[in-house]
Amino acid sequence: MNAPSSRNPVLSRGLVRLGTALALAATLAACDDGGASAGPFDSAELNAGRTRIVDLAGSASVVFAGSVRSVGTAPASWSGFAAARQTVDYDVTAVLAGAHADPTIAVAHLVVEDSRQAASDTPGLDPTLFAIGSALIVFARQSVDGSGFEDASENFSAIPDTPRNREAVQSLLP
Amino acid sequence: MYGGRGMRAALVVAAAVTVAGGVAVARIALGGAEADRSALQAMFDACKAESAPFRDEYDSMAGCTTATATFNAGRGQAKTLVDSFSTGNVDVGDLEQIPSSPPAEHPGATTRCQVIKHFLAEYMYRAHHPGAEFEECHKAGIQGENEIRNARGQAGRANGATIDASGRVVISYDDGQTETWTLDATANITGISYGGAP
Repeated sequence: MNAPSSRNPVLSRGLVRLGTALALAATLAACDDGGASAGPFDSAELNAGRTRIVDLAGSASVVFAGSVRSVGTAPASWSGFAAARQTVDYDVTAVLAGAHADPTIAVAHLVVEDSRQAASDTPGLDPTLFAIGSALIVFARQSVDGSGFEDASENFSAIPDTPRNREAVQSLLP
Repeated sequence: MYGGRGMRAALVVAAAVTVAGGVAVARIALGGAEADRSALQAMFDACKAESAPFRDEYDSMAGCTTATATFNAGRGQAKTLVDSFSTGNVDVGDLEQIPSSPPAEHPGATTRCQVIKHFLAEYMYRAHHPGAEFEECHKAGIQGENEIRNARGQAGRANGATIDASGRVVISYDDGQTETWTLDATANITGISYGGAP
């Protein structure tokens, strides 16, 4: 392992924090609502991603609220030359946009290192965000081969289903 | 523009100037052990000599004054199949398993330069589009692959590669060709098999 992070974990953590701070500062500076904390979602991170969430709301074939029923096998590697995905089964509690009659739905989520939805140390989805029973709002699309549903964003395709986030998402939907 | 994507872009820039022992090749920075950096650079050089589209991409990157792409060369990197989009880790051991030229019986096979072009194009796209997520950059990578294939006269345009539920990598082409890479437990390529036509 030759990444700088493996050579000097303290330096690596410092760089990540520095990078996060710089990125957040840049994002906040560019935000037209005066700051992430004043946005419609319940976290600065989600408010900073509002533009992307708007994109996802407009392009998803189904937007639903659901609770995590089970999480499939994690891929052997992070996404790179090959797209790595991990499937999550949800119990659907509400369909917010699109049509989905089944009470359950399986979504293959992208697994991208350092992304908001990824685990921190090994290829896979964040075990906290995708804990069994977690209530999430999910933006999903039909997979290219028509075999099921997948996401289009490694950062914002699954967000906590809180009252504030639900209201924010519903305001974005046609 | 949001935290997750911006975080990675900033980290790339930071890493470009802080990689201990890193060797900057204009605006392409290589990190990792010297032997691995040399191996990766030799692959870059071989592809430049072989392929005009590759040479154009590489020279464009090397001459870039606004962005740096940093690659951390290693061998047998766990959890990394060829490369990791977010960290720039590149496994030269994986690249060595991919043929530099298509086998005679599989003229449409995926080649090493095609794969390297994928991650060069992907990383350069990200460097020029701060905040771009994986899929958007990945499409640029696939387009880069097809430029190499077209120049080589290979049939079939790449649709992309996925890791299936069993841990295998499946690469598909629009003419029906498929290719399967088998991996060991730490995501290193151990075998390649070909299917479909031609």
